[in-house]
Amino acid sequence: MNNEKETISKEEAAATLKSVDLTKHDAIKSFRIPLLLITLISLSYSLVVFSWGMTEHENMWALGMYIGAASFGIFVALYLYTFRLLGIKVTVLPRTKERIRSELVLVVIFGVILIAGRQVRLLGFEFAPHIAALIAGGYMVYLLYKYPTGEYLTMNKK
Amino acid sequence: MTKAAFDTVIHAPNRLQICALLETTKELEFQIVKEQLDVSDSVLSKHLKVLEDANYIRLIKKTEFTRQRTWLSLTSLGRKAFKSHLRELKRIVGKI
Repeated sequence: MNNEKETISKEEAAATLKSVDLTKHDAIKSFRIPLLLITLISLSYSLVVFSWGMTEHENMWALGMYIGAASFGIFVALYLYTFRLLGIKVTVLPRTKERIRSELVLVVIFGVILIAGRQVRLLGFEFAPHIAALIAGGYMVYLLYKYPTGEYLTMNKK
Repeated sequence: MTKAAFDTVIHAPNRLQICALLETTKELEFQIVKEQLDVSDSVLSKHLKVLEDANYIRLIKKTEFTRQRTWLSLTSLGRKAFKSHLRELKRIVGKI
């Protein structure tokens, strides 16, 4: 490749797209935060989902919700700080339309899991909060591991 | 060969990689970009200067915990130019 060239062959263009993908994916792989921190963030979020599903006037699960939410906030702050120390500033607020769309989809997914965990239990299935917490925690681990910087990458496959 | 409206500033391999890296985050430190590209300070600085002159990237020097750090980020113009360059490449390959 030459920077002065203004024409390019199909093969060269495909190779360039492939190299861009590789660069992004290698970078994302090397940007991963420690698994312990991913686990702590996911566990604290699972605690929020589970506690919300179990909360009644006559029990103490609301406390679990507050503890979970506080821990979640602390661990996310630690996650951002860890990245900063490593020399990476993560985008917290979405800037592009695609990112806004995907963040909204995630909010809906996590919202549905949270509400479903409680509502299904109220309908009579007592293990609904357990399952909801498991799904929410598992999904959180997947997202933090696969997309540590929050950018959703799509491969430019041929 | 296909005639294409290229952004020659971005198309150079190292500069394309710099833009690809910066697209994955809000800001990256100079050292991280250098390690990812596996180039020397001077080579990276040279490419960054070209991108900065084109107003595609922003360089911010900050002292944090008594350590001088240079943060790099894509400007909105740079982000648009990079995306448009990738679109052009995809068009050539025949994906658009």
